[in-house]
Amino acid sequence: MRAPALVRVQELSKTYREAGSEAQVLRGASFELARGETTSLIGVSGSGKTTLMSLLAGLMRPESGSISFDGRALGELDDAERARLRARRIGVVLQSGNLIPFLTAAENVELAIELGGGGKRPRARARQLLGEVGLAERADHEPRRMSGGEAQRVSVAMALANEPDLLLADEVTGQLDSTNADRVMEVIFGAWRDRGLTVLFVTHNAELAARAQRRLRLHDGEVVAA
Amino acid sequence: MTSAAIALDAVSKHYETPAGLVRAVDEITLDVQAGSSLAITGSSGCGKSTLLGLIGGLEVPTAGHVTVGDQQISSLPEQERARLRRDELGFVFQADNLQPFLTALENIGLQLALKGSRNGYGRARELLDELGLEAHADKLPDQLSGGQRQRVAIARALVHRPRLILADEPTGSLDEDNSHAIVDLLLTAQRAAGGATLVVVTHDPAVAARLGRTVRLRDGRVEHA
Repeated sequence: MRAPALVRVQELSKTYREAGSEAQVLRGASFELARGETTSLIGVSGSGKTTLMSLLAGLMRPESGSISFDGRALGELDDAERARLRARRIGVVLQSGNLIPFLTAAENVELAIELGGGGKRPRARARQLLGEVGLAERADHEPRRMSGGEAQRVSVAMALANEPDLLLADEVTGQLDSTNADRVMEVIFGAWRDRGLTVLFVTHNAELAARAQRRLRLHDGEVVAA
Repeated sequence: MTSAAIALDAVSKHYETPAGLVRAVDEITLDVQAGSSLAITGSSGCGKSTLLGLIGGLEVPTAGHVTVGDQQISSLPEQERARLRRDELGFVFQADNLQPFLTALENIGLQLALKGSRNGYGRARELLDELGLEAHADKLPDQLSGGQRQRVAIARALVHRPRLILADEPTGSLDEDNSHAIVDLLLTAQRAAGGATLVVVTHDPAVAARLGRTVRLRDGRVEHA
């Protein structure tokens, strides 16, 4: 028997309008993310994968349809509540690291901890998280002294900073060579195994997508099994 | 008595690459007076961003010494360097590097959050008002224009009242009007009570002309000061 869904997406639609033109990227997309499962999402570029991720992270509102997270409808939360949910229960990693360039790896992670409400000993926890992604030695280094793959692992540590239930990863290996891409994915799968996370990752790479327990494809604005 | 806010003493940054040795910065000696403003210009690849990185302690020189205030930043241990940067320096880059999941207000306040200040948001709001962005406090970076985002990035760099502001092509992705407004903001911060030292890397002569002094680099060396 499947565990109850952590995320339930129903009939999601989103259209971008610019002077005179319209592009409907999502038209009634529906799917669920089962608690503790890894799910991959593929689709050609421009198919709306990033839009879907932004909606799931509560960064954007759909024009119709609904997303519920652990039984709560995102659409019914105000901005502050959505921000709190994002900071504490959803970890997000994007294609290119969103590290702050003038802070060290440890400071970047510590910041993520502070933003989620702090908790005890944020400094020590930041270092522990960096150890978890294999970067204990790099804690005091600035992003520009790291490789792209290392910077992405710091981003994963930031996303894990507040013990989220859901990890969203949007093309996080898109700019990496295969060795570095593998290490980043190992870190994500490791966190899934150790923490019982629910993971959704978007990728162009079919081989990577196949490693998820459930595989989805975004096609013509709808989510179908891949 | 004037004191140097920045002193570079025969500073070099060399990289070993498969194509041979690259002298990104080559034996640069330079003083910047406290409270003054300096433009670093030169064509792309001349070493100007590397030089700014060396001043800000984001990079370590291969040879020579970098002194900021009374501390030799180039020989500080990593954690000390990080503390100096966090407490006393303000950085602005061409890309605004704002955190996409945080509102304008949160992006500005995060520097203070890191210092353990629980009520940094009062100061962050004050700055948003000064920058004419009070209506945008609760917007995400995606909901702001390029010029607005860069103003938020500047507010983030200024929120902890740094004594040295380092900006790397801060107007690089902006149109002329926005570019002018951004330089206004940087100069206002430099001249504000207490005063700060401002160093701006720019390829734009119009930006350089508004600063107190210009240093031009070529192949990692000062062409004319």
